[in-house]
Amino acid sequence: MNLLEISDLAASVGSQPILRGIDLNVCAGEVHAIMGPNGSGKSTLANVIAGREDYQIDRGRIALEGQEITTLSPEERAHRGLFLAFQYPIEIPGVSNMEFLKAAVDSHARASGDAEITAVDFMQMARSAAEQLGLNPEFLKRGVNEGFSGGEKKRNEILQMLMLKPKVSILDETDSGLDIDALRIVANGISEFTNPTNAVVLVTHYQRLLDHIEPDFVHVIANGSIVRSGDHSLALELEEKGYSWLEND
Amino acid sequence: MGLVDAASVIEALEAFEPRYLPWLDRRDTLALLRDSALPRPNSEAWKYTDPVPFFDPQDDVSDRGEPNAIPVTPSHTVGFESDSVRTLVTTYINQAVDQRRYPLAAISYLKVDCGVVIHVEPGDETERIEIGELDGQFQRVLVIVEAKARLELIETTTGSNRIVECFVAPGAKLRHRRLQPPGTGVDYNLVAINIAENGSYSLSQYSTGARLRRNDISVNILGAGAEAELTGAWQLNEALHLDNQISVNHMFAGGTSRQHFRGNVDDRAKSIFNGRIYIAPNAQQTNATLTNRNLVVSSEAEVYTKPELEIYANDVVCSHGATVGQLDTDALFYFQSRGIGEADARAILIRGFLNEVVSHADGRTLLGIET
Repeated sequence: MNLLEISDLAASVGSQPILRGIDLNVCAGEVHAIMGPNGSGKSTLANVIAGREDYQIDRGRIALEGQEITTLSPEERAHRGLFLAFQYPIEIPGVSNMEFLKAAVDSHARASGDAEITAVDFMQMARSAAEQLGLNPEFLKRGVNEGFSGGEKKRNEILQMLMLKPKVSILDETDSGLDIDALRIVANGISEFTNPTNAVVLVTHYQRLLDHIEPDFVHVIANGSIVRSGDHSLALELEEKGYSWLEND
Repeated sequence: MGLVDAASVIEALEAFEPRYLPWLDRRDTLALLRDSALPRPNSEAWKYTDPVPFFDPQDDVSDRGEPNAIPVTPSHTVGFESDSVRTLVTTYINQAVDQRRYPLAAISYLKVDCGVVIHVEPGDETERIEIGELDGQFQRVLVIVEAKARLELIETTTGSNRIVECFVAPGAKLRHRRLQPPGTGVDYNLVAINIAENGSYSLSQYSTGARLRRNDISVNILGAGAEAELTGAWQLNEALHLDNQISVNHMFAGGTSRQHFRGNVDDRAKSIFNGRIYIAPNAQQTNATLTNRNLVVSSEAEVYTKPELEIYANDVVCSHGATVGQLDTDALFYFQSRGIGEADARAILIRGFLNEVVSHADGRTLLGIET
């Protein structure tokens, strides 16, 4: 089943077009990688899917489980099962990680008409997710991303994903800023999370994350459109040749 | 804004026959008021708050009976009328208040109709004293913490006029928590503190506003090693008004002061903050900092903030900063992308902003911060 369907998506910032007609279908159980050089539109695509207001959609559609989501607010998209791991997670001093996570989890429960999870169950869930990612559970008490290292911030994004259990996760350069050990831990967290009912889209610059999570499909974005799609071997080819040979096509 | 009718104010004060503490010497204060100018609308200190309503005869107390007894919890908290504290009162009252600078405090002194004295003996460690509402219009609180003594004072006030004077003796420590729930009238507050050498005073003040509310704070650093830490947070909505005027006066070398104030202003509310640091010529090796950060979440809200430095010594460390900002849209999107609706996200972000300076449960409750 198609979880995420994007057809002829064009988007701009101000009068500057960034995406120029993107088509992408992501089915349940699949892992996709979106690669491309700096400024190609990868992060814009991720943010437009999540509903960031800074971008204007010029044409095309985005559907989640067959339903159009382009008119929905970011929180409604999240409630329907969309998750974006930020390239640059935001620091929010004064709000504890725990409060933030609980508010997020509760909002999902309310949206789906479920009872809110008890504080005890929530703590247990959060601690076990933190441990799975090699994070000291004490960090749950700290301000959201406040004073976290680059690697801790990225792990915190994955922690949120594990807690919210989205259907489609778009991970925007989650591998950047991670050392080799952290990369392995994060990759394992993502791999363990994937199952036949959900899907993951890895937006990345480098092939190295794909050594740990083998993608079913690799797409290359250049100048706002997908210029090549293939399997994992495409990523390996890019690693060897760089992006310029595709841009010059 | 009209003008304060100084002549009729003075006339009324001269005719006023005090029934509370009739033995207080009021002559100098009256003379001073006759000589000095009363606050003028649009003057620097009253630029954004109309002073006229503070002089309304709304509070005529001439027919008040004898003051009620003050609720006394610890043994050393006593009403002003007690003979045993008469000496303390005459020794200390107005010693921390510059009446020329604070004429409303001078008027309040003349008309004082209730009060409380807290006296902590040298070396005594008092855990905590709470002062709630006092039964009077012109309230006076004297807090004397003798050498090497300690006190935690918790004060709640919505009263319309309260002057608090604190004396921190050498090596003494006073921790002052102050809560100001919302009011409906015209409130005037002055907290004036004298800190002697190696004395330490910390204020955590959590405020909302009133129709008009003025908070004057005056700190005198009077000895080497004296420390003042002032923290304040406020949350204003609807048409609430809060005018904070702080003056930290370093009169002696080797003192330290730190000020951190944060406000959140919504709807049509108005927040004024003026933070003055005065460093006298002899107050070398002073270390003084001041920050005021404001979060404005409505286009109709008004925020005025101004740091004011007067430095006459050349070997000091002094820094200040004031900001007025809005909620970070990146942070809002971050919350929304996790499913947290915009209204909830805003509320959590505002609480988080204030949370960084709000350090105790009462303040958190007042400002709606979950503990």
